[in-house]
Amino acid sequence: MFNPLVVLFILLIYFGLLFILAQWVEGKSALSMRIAGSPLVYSLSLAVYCTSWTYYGSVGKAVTSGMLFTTVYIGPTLGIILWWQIMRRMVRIKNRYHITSIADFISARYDRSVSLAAMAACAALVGSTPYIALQIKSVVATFNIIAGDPGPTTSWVRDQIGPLSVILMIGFTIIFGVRKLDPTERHQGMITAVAAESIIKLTAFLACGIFITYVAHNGIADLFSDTRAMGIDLNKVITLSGPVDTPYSTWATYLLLSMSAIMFLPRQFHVSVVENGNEKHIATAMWLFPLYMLLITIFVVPIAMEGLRVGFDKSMADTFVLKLPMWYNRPWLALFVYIGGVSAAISMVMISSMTLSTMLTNHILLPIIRAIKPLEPLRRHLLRLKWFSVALVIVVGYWFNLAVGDSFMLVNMGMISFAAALQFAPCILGGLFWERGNKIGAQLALTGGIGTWFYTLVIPAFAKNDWAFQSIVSNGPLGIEILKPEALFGMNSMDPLSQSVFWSMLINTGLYVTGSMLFEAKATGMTLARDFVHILESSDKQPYRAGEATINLTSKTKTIVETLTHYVTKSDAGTMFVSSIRRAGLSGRRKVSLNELAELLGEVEKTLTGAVGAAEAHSAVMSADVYTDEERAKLSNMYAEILADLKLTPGELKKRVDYHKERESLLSNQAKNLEQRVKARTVDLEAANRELEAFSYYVSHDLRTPLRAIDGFSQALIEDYGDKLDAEGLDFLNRVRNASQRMGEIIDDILSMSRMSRMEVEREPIDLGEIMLEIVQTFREREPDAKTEIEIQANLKIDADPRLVRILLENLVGNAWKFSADKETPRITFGTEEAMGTTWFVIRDNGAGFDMQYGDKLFQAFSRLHTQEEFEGTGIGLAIVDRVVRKHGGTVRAEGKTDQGAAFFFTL
Amino acid sequence: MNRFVTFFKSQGFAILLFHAGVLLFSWPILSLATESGETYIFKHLLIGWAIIVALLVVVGQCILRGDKSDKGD
Repeated sequence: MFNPLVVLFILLIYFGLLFILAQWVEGKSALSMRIAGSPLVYSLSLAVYCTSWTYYGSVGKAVTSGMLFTTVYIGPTLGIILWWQIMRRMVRIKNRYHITSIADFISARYDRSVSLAAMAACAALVGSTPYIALQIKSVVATFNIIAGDPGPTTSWVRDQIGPLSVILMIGFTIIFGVRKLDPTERHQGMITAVAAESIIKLTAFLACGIFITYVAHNGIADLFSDTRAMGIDLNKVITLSGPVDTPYSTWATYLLLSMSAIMFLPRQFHVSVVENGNEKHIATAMWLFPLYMLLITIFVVPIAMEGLRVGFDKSMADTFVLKLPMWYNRPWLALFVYIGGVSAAISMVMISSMTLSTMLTNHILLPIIRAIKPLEPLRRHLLRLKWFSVALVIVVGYWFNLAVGDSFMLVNMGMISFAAALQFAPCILGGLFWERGNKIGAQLALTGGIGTWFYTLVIPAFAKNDWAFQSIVSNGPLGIEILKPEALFGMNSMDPLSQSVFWSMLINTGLYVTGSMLFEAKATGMTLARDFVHILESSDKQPYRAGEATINLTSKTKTIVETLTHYVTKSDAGTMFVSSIRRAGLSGRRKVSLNELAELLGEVEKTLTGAVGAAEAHSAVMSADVYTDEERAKLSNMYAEILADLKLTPGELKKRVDYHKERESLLSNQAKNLEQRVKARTVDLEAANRELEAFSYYVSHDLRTPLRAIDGFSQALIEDYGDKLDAEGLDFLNRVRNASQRMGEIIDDILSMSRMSRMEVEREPIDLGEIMLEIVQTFREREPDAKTEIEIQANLKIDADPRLVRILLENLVGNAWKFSADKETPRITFGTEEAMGTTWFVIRDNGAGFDMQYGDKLFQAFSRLHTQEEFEGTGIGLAIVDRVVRKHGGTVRAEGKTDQGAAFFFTL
Repeated sequence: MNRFVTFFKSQGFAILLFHAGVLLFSWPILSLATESGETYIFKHLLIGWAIIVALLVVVGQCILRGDKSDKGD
């Protein structure tokens, strides 16, 4: 016997150590992350299944019902055989839809139904309450065994251990699991603490078993022999299901309930599905957890036998495991066993109340708050709501213990919870394997199943203490015997638990199938159904929500900057990281999505590429331990999911890629062909153009001879026979001469243009001013009386063909000279001007100018804006100018105003 | 070896083992053990259970091994 305060103090130290462990894991050091993310921790956390019910209640059940207690562990072992087919689906679905609880899972499958989530949450709450009550009961009862009462000064601890346990459980749960909001609903610190508790409870139970079997006795055979020697008939103790009329149905019912409980108890769903960080851990858990259950039950029968042998009362069988070390005067072993028992109870309460608080908050309180406007401000206090929910769940469990706890042995209370969890099975398994299963079917199933469970199991449980319920159980409601809860519809061939399971499952499954067959699901519900049922086929899908920022950027920053410091100084690494953050558009962000993290790493790689080259930068970023295994898997699956969203098999995708490659290749070939054809056409056109120019040259050249003949003979006719012709005849002959001379000028211009066209541009440095000066001198020599003022800007140097430029300037100066000749003070300037971002050469005059509306016709051959009588000319000059400029790759334009001069701009 | 791994990790084997386990721990096999005497049922359950756990160890290892070789491919 220990002083109650000492026991309390030791317990507080134990949980303080667990808290330190959880904190260390939450600190996310490399080692702690490796441990927390290991399959061992995942498998051991599943042992939250082994609560104080297992720890103390198995021995109690072994004494009263023989080997029936083994079904509670053999059932899960059998169910676990199918985990790779079932649990893997659930984990993938959890990852894809970010499922946070079993109610969330059911809701997600059935068209994200709020009502279904609320129903499932209520069912989970009601179903788990007896189980939490059971844990509180065990903690209180065993404390009173281990802690003696040395005097009035410490007796208050014994008296108040119930409320004290409740307060401590609420405190532990909040500190371990609901201290802060975690959007992923994963609590690696808490799970590691639960795994540690699992080791403690297994070690303590094995220590007790080994002590009884191999220290107090010489093995199991010796123990059995000693037990027989005490006059105990082992045949009456080691039975299949105890003294019941229907041992096999009871056995089968327990097997079935346990098989479903391992997956569908809210806390089991939480640790196995929600807390799963890697689906491969399931493969390890598939053998490690059954092995754990085998080990923790292997000494149950020896302990039970020993308890009976030493003379403990059967009604106290639940406490044999604690009382025996004390009976053998091994107080420290007893204390160790007690700590193991408290570990079993506390871990269950923590996980259950945490997941129930999530369901209560998300699926019951928040919808209520949303519906009642005055309550809306409460939404900002989500964390406090969760704390309130935790407290509520545990307090209700305590109340249930006070109300009905004394009327039940531990194991019976556990079975009520198991039967409640079984009600989720049709909805979940149907949802995983039957596409047709729909929301209405699930709603009907849960309503019918939970209602039947409550009526046939919970009401009889209350009836042990409540007179009103006793009447219903004994006589049926309103005296209708056929509706007696423990013999519904007159079924009394099975024990109450079996008949409850039979009716609830019949109603539950029947309504699920009927509802699903009779009603059609909505399109969204059908899509979800297809996705759930085909989750394994659609790829190894893990969480993919590109937009959801759940990754703590701060934790990644250190790793990324460290990677950069392998190549640059720390300050430069910081600068590079900040610039990468800015380019990725993540400035000021604390949490990022996986997509954004990948983009950030892409930017970091780009930044680093500038320093170390692409290959090294890629290698550095790839080898940086930025992604966790889970994130790496998610990223990989994200790509797989993109592939799946394309609705293509990898084979089809390859075909399409090949098709596009082929198409690109064809297009490329076509483009090449087209280019070749253009080249060929250009060559043909150039040849044709040359032929045309040659033709026009030869035609023009050959026309000159007859024209000269016409002009010459007309002149001879005037000179030799002028006296024989009258005035009209002479006028006709003069007209013939003028026309032939004009035609000769046109032919000269055409020939000039033709020659110019055939010339290749040969650029060399020239001074346009000098050429202009030479041309002007020619004009002055030709017309010495002309008063034209010429102004030429100095230094007009450029690379151009001097022969062509001379032709160009002759034509432009000729035009300016001609059109300004009538002015009193003709003036021509030549220089450069800046316009439209380019330097233009400009020849301006103050001559006749032109109307700008006809400006576009200026550079067309044979196009004239003035009559022959006003100004002589052929209309070829500016066409030649245009060709010269174009040959140089330049531009020419003109500005002018009638009677106010003209300006010709050109570039070369 | 690969055939061994494929067999143990297959869905067919899981279903077979599940049914064998259910049969092993149900009527009529259990009734035979029950009628054989006090310790037979104890031994039957523990040994049968241990065999299933041992097979689950093999299944678990085959799944992990298969997963690695799948990746290797």
